[in-house]
Amino acid sequence: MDNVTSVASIERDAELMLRVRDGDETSFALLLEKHRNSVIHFLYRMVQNQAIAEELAQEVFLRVYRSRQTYEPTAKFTTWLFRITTHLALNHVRDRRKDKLHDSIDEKIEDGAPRQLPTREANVEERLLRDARLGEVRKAIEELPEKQRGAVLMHKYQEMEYSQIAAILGCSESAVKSLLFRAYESLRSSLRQFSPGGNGLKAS
Amino acid sequence: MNCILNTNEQEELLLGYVSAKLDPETARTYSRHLSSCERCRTMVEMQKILDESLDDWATPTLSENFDQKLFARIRAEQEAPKPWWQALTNFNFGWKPAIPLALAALLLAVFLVRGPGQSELAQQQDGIKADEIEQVEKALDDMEALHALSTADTAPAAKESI
Ligand SMILES: [Zn+2]
Repeated sequence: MDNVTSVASIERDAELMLRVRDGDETSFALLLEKHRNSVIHFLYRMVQNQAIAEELAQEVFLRVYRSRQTYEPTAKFTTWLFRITTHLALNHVRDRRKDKLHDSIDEKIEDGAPRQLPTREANVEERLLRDARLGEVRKAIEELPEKQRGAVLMHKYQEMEYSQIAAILGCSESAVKSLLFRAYESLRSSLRQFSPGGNGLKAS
Repeated sequence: MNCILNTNEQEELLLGYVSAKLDPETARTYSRHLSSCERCRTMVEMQKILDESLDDWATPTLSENFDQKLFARIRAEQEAPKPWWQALTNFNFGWKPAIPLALAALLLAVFLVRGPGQSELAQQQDGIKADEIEQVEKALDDMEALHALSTADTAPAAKESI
């Protein structure tokens, strides 16, 4: 077998994954330790429900483990990992959306997230303002079409480049840009009432 | 004054600027543009507010038994008998075409054993993998529930053992 990607040249994560393939479970534990939080945080913000996010994350890492035999380091490890993650998340969101056509939309966003405000005691008013802003943004994120939602979360919290998001979502870079631009525009407009000028922009 | 940038340029510069990812030259040019373009200035202001709000969005603390649960599932999966198709693909042929050949032979055997008139056979070939996965996963969920009950007290130790 010709080793086009020599083991020396591939990234650390891929190397770990290849060890998992060869039966080394410690390497799997290391990969889990390293990527668990980013996967769960992404899923949590996608579905806005901790229990569901954790269940989906279990599924993600189970699939990673199951794929060890066939794993090939053809893409960056995080790209591969997030392909699995977004696949599951998008499916979940789509299924939920179908269900919602029948259910009423009473079921509200889980409010489980303790908000971390700057430790220097923000005054109550600022706190309330920031809470209100975040509330609007979360609602707006929940209303975004699922691909836009995924793209924004990967761009903002995973700090991924357009090219990596494109590789994950299986679309072109320009498609990613247009997903992101539309998403950010919707999110900004959800915050119009908080614009510093606050002048006349409110109603539309 | 109307903005000279098209929508995509506006957005791309805006995102780069707010996250400080523009190269210095582009950032300078954009700054100059901002001083004369109210529309882009408003977009920057709003994007900053959005960015700040998104930064405020913390995530809940992970359940303590997350890893334990995952490793229990993995262990259960390893101990569960492998479905036939997995055993087949895990068998290390140096010569890959052997796998589809073996599969074809197996399907032919199934067909012969079950006899003709199995109109659902074709449908089964597609569905069989998904069905088996589902079955295995159901079994795993049950096992996991049992496992969780029996190991509730030894939670911290379980993580270390892998
Ligand atoms: Zn402008």
